Amino acid sequence: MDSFKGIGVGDASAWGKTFVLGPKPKAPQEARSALGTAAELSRLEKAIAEVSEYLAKTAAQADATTAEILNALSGLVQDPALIEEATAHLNEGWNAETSVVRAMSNFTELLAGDDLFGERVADLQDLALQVVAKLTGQDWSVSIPKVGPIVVVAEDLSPAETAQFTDAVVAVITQGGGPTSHTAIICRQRSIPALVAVAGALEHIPNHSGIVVDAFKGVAYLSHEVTDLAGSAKRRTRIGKPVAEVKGNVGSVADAKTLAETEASGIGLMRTELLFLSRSTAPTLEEQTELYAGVLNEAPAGEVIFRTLDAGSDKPLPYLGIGNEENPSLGIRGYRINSIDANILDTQLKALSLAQDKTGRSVSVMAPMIATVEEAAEFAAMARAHGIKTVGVMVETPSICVVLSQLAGVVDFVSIGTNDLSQYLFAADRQNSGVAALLNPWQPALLKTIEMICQQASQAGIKVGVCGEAAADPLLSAVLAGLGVQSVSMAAPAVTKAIDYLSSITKEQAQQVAQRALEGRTPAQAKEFALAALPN
Amino acid sequence: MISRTLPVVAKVGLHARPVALLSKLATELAAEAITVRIGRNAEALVDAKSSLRMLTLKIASGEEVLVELGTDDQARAEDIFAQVAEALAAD
Repeated sequence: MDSFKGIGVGDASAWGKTFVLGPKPKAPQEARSALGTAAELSRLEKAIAEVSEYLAKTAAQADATTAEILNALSGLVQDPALIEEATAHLNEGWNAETSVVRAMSNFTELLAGDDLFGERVADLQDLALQVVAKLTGQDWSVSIPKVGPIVVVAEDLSPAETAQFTDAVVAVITQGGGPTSHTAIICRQRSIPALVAVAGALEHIPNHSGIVVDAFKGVAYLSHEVTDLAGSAKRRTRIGKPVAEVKGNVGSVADAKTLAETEASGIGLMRTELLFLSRSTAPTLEEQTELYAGVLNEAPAGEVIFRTLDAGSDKPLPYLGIGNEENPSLGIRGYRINSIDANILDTQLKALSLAQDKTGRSVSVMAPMIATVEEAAEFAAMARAHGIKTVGVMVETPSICVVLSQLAGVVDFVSIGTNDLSQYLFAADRQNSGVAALLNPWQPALLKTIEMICQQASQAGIKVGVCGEAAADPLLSAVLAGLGVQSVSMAAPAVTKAIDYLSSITKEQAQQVAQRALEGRTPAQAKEFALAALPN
Repeated sequence: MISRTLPVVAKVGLHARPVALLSKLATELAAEAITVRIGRNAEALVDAKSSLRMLTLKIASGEEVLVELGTDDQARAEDIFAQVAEALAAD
């Protein structure tokens, strides 16, 4: 076997020599203590302190994301409850090794199988095994070669292991793990390709052999030829203006400042939630005016679009009095809050109007979770009454997609929130990892829906933007432009790459890429077709 | 003893950062001899110094938690509740 399938993380490829980490030690055979409870307890405390210290020391040399994970683990292993539970097992006559494994199991059994908390189980078990390794004097630490290119192959990687990656590590293959595992998160952070959930990786991938990891296609294959794949990630050459405007997503004045350092033309989404969260009363008119004016002052040149409060479901606010909902994502959220508390929206619009006067810069405003033309008209009338000239709505519900042409003369623009649109289009909960595959932004039905939105909007004389996750994928942003989207908005770090992509092609080429993508029957095929149609 | 019900605003629920921040806060308060206990109701409170015990409560985003402080100083309690509320909103 010389080619291996898995789930790709990232879209890059790399070639390197494999460095296979053997399977992890298993928990030792349960054994009674020969030393007595007091001696076992002091052994255990010493081992725990050593593991905690080792993790904290590794954290000090790691990047911010890794350090946060390692420091959290360093704290967890020292948790007083772990010693308490372990002491109960020590008192029953078990040795330190057995007691710490049993104590951790007491906690992991409670967490296993839970959607949200289950993913912590592997980390906690790994911690217990690290303590056991200290107790039995095994050398747990692995030393990854410092000279590369190295492709690390492992059963799964603990944060302590990924923290040791130097620049020599160009790719990672793991037998276990998933697209949201720590390994995947850290590889994404470091922009190195990874292939996770590769069945039989440890058994079939030989050590010290040349291998190509193609995260985009989700495959790895043995290749002795030294291949420099870095070229595949090289910047695209700009030939003109971007075929769609590139704006930024922000949530604070600081974000607006960061964005102003990029080439973004304005703000496509200013989330106003941040000011409303983590407090027990709604922010005042003055507080809001100050924030909005601050954002306007710092924002890069171009249009600045504020989204009114998008609370509810995943962002509950106690003072809204929504109460407990059976299905919060289908309940009172976004614009619907106006039906139970009209003050919130009115104050927001007032504050935006004041910020406009204060800074002399005009604002655009849009409402989230609009399901009917009636709601859109109601919102537009309120916004215009407050002196806001450019008004739009988010397109997140299938219902508004269907009647979009009726928004002619009602709103000036629509902005597609691809994350929520996917959730409602596919009836797939965003918070449930079991249905994550349906929420892939390359899903053919989503692309087709966006095409439909663009066609209706164009006839109605309404501008279309995209401010969801989809816009941050540069290839997908080219597809969106080809479908007729006039502006894409994303977090500041993704801006440059998007402008590179969108400036490297003509409008006609973008349309060809989009048409090919629409022919895909699966998300992978849509992406493959789009890539093939993209001129070099 | 002063108690208050607070919402878990963080999207991840009582997990990850909120838990790390709470255990840090509770550990610091232990030096002032103030205990912090947290749970769904008064019968099921756990010591907030322990991340593991808080994790096993499996409290999701949008739920409310009862927070009990081992102090009678109302002003100090208000200050701590504000910090707890902030931790419960940390993503």
